[in-house]
Amino acid sequence: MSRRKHDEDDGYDLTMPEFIRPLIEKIINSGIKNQSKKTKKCKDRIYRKRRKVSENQDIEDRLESLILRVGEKSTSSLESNLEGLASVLEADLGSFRVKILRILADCATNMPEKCTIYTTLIGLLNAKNYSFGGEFVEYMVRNFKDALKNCKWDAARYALRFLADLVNCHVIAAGSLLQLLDNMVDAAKEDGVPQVRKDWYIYAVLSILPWVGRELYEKKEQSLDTLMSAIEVFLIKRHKNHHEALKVWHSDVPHPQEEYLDCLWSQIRKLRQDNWAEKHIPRPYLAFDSILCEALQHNLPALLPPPHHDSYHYPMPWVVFRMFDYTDCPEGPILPGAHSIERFLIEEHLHQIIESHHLERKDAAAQLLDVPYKQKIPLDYMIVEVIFAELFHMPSPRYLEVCYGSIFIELCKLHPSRMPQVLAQATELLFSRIDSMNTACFDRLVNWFSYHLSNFQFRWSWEDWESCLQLDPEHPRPKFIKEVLLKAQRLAYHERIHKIVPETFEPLIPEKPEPTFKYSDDTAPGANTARAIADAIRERCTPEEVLTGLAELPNPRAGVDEGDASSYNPLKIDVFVQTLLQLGMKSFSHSFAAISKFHYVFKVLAESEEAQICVLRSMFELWHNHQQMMVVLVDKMLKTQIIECSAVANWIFSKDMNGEFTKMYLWEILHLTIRKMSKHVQRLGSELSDARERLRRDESHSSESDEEMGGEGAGGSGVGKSGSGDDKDKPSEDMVERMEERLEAAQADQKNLFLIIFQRFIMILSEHLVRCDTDNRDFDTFWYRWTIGRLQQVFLAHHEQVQKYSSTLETLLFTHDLDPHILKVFQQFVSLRA
Amino acid sequence: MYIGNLSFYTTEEQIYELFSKCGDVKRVVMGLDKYKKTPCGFCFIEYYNRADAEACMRYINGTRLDDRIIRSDWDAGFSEGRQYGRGKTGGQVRDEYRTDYDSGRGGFGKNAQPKSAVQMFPGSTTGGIP
Repeated sequence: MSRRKHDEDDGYDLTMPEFIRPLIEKIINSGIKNQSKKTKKCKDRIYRKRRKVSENQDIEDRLESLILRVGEKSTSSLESNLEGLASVLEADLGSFRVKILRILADCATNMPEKCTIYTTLIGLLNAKNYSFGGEFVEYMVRNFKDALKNCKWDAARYALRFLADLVNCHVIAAGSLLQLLDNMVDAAKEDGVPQVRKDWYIYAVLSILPWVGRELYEKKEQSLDTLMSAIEVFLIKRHKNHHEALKVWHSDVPHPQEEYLDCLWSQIRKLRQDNWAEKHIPRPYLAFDSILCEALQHNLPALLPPPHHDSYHYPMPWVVFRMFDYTDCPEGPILPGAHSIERFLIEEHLHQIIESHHLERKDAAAQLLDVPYKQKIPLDYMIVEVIFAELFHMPSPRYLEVCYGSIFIELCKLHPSRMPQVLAQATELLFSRIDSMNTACFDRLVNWFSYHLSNFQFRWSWEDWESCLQLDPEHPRPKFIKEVLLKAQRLAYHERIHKIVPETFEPLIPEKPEPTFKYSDDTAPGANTARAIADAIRERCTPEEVLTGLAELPNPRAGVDEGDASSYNPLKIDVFVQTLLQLGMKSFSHSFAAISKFHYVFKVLAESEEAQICVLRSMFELWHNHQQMMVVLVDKMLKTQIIECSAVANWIFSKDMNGEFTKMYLWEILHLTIRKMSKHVQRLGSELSDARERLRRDESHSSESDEEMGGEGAGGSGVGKSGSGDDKDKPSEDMVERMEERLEAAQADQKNLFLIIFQRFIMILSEHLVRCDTDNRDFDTFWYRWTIGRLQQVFLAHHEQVQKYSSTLETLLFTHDLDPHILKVFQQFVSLRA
Repeated sequence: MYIGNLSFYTTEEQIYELFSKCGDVKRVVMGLDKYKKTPCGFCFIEYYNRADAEACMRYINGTRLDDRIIRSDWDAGFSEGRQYGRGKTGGQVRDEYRTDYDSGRGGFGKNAQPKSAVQMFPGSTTGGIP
């Protein structure tokens, strides 16, 4: 360090204490302890300098904490806290301007629930310091633009809401906000862009009106009316093919399952009828009206939404889930109506709490139960409705299903006098409406309920559901109970399930999960061989010895040439698979060990897809009473590449599985198979792009180092090699090419898998429809509903993958001559991202 | 991951079912009594992805399986030998000093020493079926 520089440092150092003292005092006055008052006494210069840096950091941290915490529970009023904080910040603007700007802007987007508190603070600051107000608006507008460009839709919405609320605080002129809103509505008039893009812009505009509607109405009534009519025109023309597919229930009785924009539009229209008077949002700025109305306002800069780009992903549409109305909550405060703006605001707040606390279920539960307006609404009901809304969200829930399950458990623990009761009532309602519930949601409900019961000793008033025992077993109600008991049995054990339900439920109690070993019957063909190889395996024989042991079994398929590549011997496969899995019956681990030890035998016996289907059939015959075992075995055999995904798909749709076709576990298997395939494709894809990236970097790197070599001589030669650590396995062009080929092959497999699945669906559904037509029977049977539901589920659960093959599916399978009932499902799927 | 406070009767199947709710389970290794080779109330679980294990800590740790509050913990990874109880009698050490009656974990502690139990293993007596 040069002497000169040191001097400069010193000069700066000496000015420090003067400016820092008032600041520190202020911070102490505002109730925060400060431990570093002895700056002046420091004799060591270097120490003092270090101290200065850390002290600046200290002050920044303290400012940040003050800003973050304003509005939390406090002994003094919010108004006085805001006033105090505004003065502190105003005084510090000189030295910490950028920092303060950044913290406030972060709060605006990260703590949307405290929006009005921070807008008030900005309003007070703007009244004191007009130029800072302007800078903040500019900063916020930039944030908004960036969020739009980066497809951070929620952040953009919160930024827009903040800007809108700044109109209420006299920071931004109403006219300039309306100009921005007009521009956004114009974006919804564009042609040739996806509807989901237009939807978002309309949604963003509508969802800020509860905050700023009144102010715009008072100041610019006519422009607001024009805006509203433009939105109405858009909504009337809008396509809603997706609506059906996203509904939790097919029926609109008792509560309509409204499309989200339609619902919000109704709520906003209602608000408009009430002259935009809204009573839910706390508005601290009202108390400062006399100060704020003196302030000068800023105009928003002209802002056009960034044009659409193909890489942009917009939020998918959704349906507003409603399961309660005021008659369901008999005691206490009244539930706001479905089209009251309060319902929208509260629901949005509760969703936000879940979003911020989903990583800590205990906090999530505590925060949900502690919203400030909890006395005014039937909070338990609204929480339950909002969590179920997330769990049933289509195409998939935001977070893991078990996340919601665990939050429910915490809610029951925290609020044992009410929550279990409300949750039980909700379950009753869901059960009573299950007849029209969409199949994916049916599965989620089964999973949640069995899991929840397992956390509460399986206590449930089963007797109340006794009447369903009279119904067709394929009816959704008995089916629901049966599937719940099956899942409950997986989490407990057979005898337990027997004990928890009344004896009359016997027909719905799952079988004991035991194997049915065909070759324990000595007269079964192959029984001798089965016994012999079982003995050999127990004696730790090799896979080759097993093959030798099986060699004598005759092939029941007549006229097959043994040497033919497509030839396989179903008897050999059956004897081997049943015997091996029977020996491994003790646990999953035993079965897995058996499979991996005799992997080679599987590969030799079951090369073709037909042979692999034989493996699956043999497994099914052995384990048909143990669904979970079949699920994990299929999973294992896919992982170890004993069977291919397409074999599983064809097996599921095969005649042998007719009796199992409407059971949940079979679809669990299909979905895990599709997921396995998708993960494989994704992995290859990301490996390839990684390799390409490395190759590209490597090329640019070597050209750089060439230049360096030219400029600096031999010294630069090492740069290319040592520059980045991952160069050691740098890919060659050849390798990348091979990876491309692998990815293409995997994508072809994936496409093929989807083609098989959808084709099989189309075949069985068309067959059913035609048969009903010729027999003059109603086609709308339970079987038909389950099957259509499963088809829908495949589309939605894997929509991102299926989307890639949309046009192939349209030209090959979902053609216009297809029965409209089946075609409809495809069209709904396509419109999700239209 | 290490999972503790299981009932001796809880099976690998049940563990699979519950923990698969957080992601693809790679394997489950049941904790066994060193001598009897029967489950003794703990197990190891491996997920393919770390994120799934994190979800397990968040959503399964502290919830119930077979009516017992189970506990999950990060673990360096299973190695051969660790599947056995390290108590003198073959089970887990905590079951030797337990003083309560816990039917899910073989009744009374095998070597109950009331004084030291609380001092040495605080929290070891919670969660049992009364």
